[in-house]
Amino acid sequence: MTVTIFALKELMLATGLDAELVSRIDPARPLIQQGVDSVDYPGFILAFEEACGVKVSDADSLRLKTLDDFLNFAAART
Amino acid sequence: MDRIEALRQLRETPWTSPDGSEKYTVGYFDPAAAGGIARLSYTVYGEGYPVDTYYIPERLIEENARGAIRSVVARTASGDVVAHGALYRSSPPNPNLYEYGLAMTLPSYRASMVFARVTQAAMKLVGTDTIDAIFSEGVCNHIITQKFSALLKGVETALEPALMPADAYTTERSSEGRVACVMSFRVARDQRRVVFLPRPYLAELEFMMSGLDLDRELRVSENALPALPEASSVIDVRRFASAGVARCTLTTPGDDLATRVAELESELAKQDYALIQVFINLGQANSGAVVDALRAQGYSLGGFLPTWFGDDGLLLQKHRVSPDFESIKLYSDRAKALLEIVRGDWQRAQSNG
Repeated sequence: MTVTIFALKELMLATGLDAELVSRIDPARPLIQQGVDSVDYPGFILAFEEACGVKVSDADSLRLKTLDDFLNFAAART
Repeated sequence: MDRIEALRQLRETPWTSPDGSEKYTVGYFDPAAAGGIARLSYTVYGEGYPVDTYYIPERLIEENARGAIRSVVARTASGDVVAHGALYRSSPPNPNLYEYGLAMTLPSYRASMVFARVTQAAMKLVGTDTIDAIFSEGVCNHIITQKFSALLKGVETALEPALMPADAYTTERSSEGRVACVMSFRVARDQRRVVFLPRPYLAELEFMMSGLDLDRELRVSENALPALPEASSVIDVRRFASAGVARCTLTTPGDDLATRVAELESELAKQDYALIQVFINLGQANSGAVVDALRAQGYSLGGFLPTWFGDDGLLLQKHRVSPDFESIKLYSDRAKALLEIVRGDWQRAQSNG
């Protein structure tokens, strides 16, 4: 998958996040401040790992706060 | 230490929450984590959570030691507990049916994998030791905890409108009135059982039992209640005064059931209880007569409770305050179908009353 903000939002929709919530997400702001909760977040990471073919460790996850963080993380590893 | 003292200590002891950057490790309970779990409970729920144990470190240690609770914690190197989940014995008479709950994550760690890791560790216990089956009660003022059922591989089988007072969630989530819960079950170690189906709920139970993959011999319950004086009803009542809920397990039904229930209701009404739940053993051939007696007194369907007694159970309930069905938030289509069943039978009970 070519990792873009649009593609990451599509992935969020595929994991069952609410469409309106996803449409309002600002890529530069922490997801947790925009309605993504403690169950959504790990679910999104598992989908991200599968779609991008990368491994996100628990330590990595503490640094991945925003969609921009995910974009940069994927760019550095693919 | 009692609840009041524990809350006083938590209130008065200075504590700074970790900022979410420190690494954590996930493991099973050890006594050194007890104080951190109490702190986490206080941070997430404030002072409103109705179960005392989670504020009182000594009780957490005792109950983990005897297997009544199996806590899983995520801790930082500095010792703060940043997430917790537990399998624990709660209301069911079957000691091998554990509830999964007390899933709490510090706000600063909600953007992390910690909750998934804690739940994964807890699920490794299912089907081991004495843990044959699990259930969870997901609150319905939001859908977050209901998403747990995917991690738990649970199947929704019951709905409890207006179960919990909203002030249990004043720190976690604002909510008005009383909050509903949806119950999900997973049976990891099953054995063949007979289920006596009450005639008024044949179709409803067929739906509720679907997807559980249980080995059951289904019979329609036709037996009457045993006549007095040989068999008077025995009802085991557990009172949750702070929640205004009485959970009544009908251990021995007799034909004085209607009178006994009326007496109990009268007593509970004086103490301002909001909800009476009755748990009926579907392994008993006269479950249908029990259901008929309770329906005649205004009780309505809550759901199917696999292995609740060892045998399966049925939940009926009666509310002293009308539930706000419109405010119930549900995640899955199955849970939404369950809501329509429960609401429909509640309306039937109201129109008969």
